[in-house]
Amino acid sequence: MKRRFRRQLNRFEVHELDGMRQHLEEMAKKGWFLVELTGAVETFERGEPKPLRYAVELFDRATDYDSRPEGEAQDYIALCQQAGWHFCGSYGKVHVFSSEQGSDILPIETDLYQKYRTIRKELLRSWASNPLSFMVYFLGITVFLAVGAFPYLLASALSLFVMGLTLLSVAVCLVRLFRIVIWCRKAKRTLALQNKLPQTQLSSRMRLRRKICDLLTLAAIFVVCGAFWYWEKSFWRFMLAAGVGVAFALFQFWVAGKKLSRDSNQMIAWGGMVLLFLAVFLIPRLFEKEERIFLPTSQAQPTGFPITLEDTGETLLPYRWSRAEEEKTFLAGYTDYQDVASESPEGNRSLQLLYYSVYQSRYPALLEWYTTYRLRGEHSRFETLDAQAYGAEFAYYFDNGLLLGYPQQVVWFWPMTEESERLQPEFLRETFSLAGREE
Amino acid sequence: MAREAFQTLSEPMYYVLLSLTEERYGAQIMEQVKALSHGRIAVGPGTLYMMLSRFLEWGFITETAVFGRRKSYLITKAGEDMLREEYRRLQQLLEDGKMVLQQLGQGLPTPTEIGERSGMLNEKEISAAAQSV
Repeated sequence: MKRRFRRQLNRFEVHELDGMRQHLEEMAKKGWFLVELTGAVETFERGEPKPLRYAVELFDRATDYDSRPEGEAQDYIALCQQAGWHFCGSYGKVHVFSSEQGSDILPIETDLYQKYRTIRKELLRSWASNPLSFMVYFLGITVFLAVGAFPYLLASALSLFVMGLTLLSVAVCLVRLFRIVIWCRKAKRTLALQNKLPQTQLSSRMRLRRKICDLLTLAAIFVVCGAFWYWEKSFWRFMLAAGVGVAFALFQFWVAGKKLSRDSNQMIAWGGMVLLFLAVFLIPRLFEKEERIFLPTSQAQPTGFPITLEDTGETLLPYRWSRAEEEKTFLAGYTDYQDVASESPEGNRSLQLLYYSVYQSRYPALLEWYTTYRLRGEHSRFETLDAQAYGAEFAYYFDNGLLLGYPQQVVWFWPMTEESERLQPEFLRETFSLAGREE
Repeated sequence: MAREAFQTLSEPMYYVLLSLTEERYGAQIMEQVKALSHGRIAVGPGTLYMMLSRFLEWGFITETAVFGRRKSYLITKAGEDMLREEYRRLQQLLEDGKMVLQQLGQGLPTPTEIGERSGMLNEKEISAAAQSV
């Protein structure tokens, strides 16, 4: 049994609506007639093949949230119907009409210069709304430069990756703008010389190529997400974020098919944005408890353990060494650290934490330095499983405290005793001195 | 501001305003423009919609009746003034052109000839236009 309806996914840019018209006329010749338009999805109904004349027009007084004609669009459609056009469907600003081939019905738009201006305005509007992410990247880089943290920018594979993405998005934006400018120049020229807008030739092969490009873009997004997951080492968080994204996309697709009112679509779109924002920023917090660092409860632990970073109500202390001193070390510019004092449940200062954020490119060096020089004394290495229990890649315990290693951080804990208080300045000097390495 | 931007009317605008000296709705306006211009000017529904919206915004026309989605319009005093102003301007253009062309010693084309040249009318329409003139 032959199927009655057929759906096709075709994406046409605003200035390529003439290509969409040609495609619809080709489909009518094959006996498929457009009955509904939902975003890029066209629904065709089977009928007797006949040549039809189509008009695909941009009505800029409609909005992107219109999944069905509303307000002024209804008057516009009524006027076109009075002129003899049959309304086939609309989505957003795009409206499709048909008429019998060979009929002397007037074209819908007879003022081509006005049509050109409408298309140009819409092209620039859509271009300007897209590179929002580019602006965020740009501002981010500016902040990086402004705070003098430029060395961090390309200091790790992750930051290189992010920079690569930034450059790619900037390149895509510029190419798109370039294509818009080229089309506008061409349109102006053909309008002046031939009094018509440029024809869009989109063969089925070109449409197929575009679909493949869309699929590749989608695949690239997943690869990027996968890469972030690799760095973040949080598979479930990644899966949850991806799941929320996919669910939201499916929901939007379902909503589009329901042809809800403009207000409802607007509410869903903005509400969805808020939900996505909350999902991205709040859901990870649900996992925070699992990521807390619990210090070991083995017999070797010093007084004051176990204790967690979150539970101690630690207070930040000012840096005890100067930037100038830090600049002399081989970690200069690649580490960020806090000196943290913790309160025990009894209210005594019992634990001192030295917390490093180490940019990945310098991480192996720091690790090597620790294992070669700092830990050469009495220490025990925890089993891998023990380290994993604290979410760390490695864990060392020795007489001075505990060292936990994370992908980009090394956390150093030691009990606050009179002796450690006394030794601390010396220890810090040793930690940040090149002399130790040169020994 | 908008009024300043259109101190002169485009040809389709001029004919649409002319056609609205009597109460008409969309399809009638399109037909009347075609008839008045002897088939030289055609205003499509999309273009007409934008034009009517602007005229309403500038107060050149007013909505007189609504039957479902079919709306009728009529020119206002402001629209008439604009039309008269435009007529005077065109009259001046015509006079200036006439003077120069007559000096060249060539005859001036009639509206029917213009319609024939533009190829927008068939024979029946040309004879109907000639009769109306």
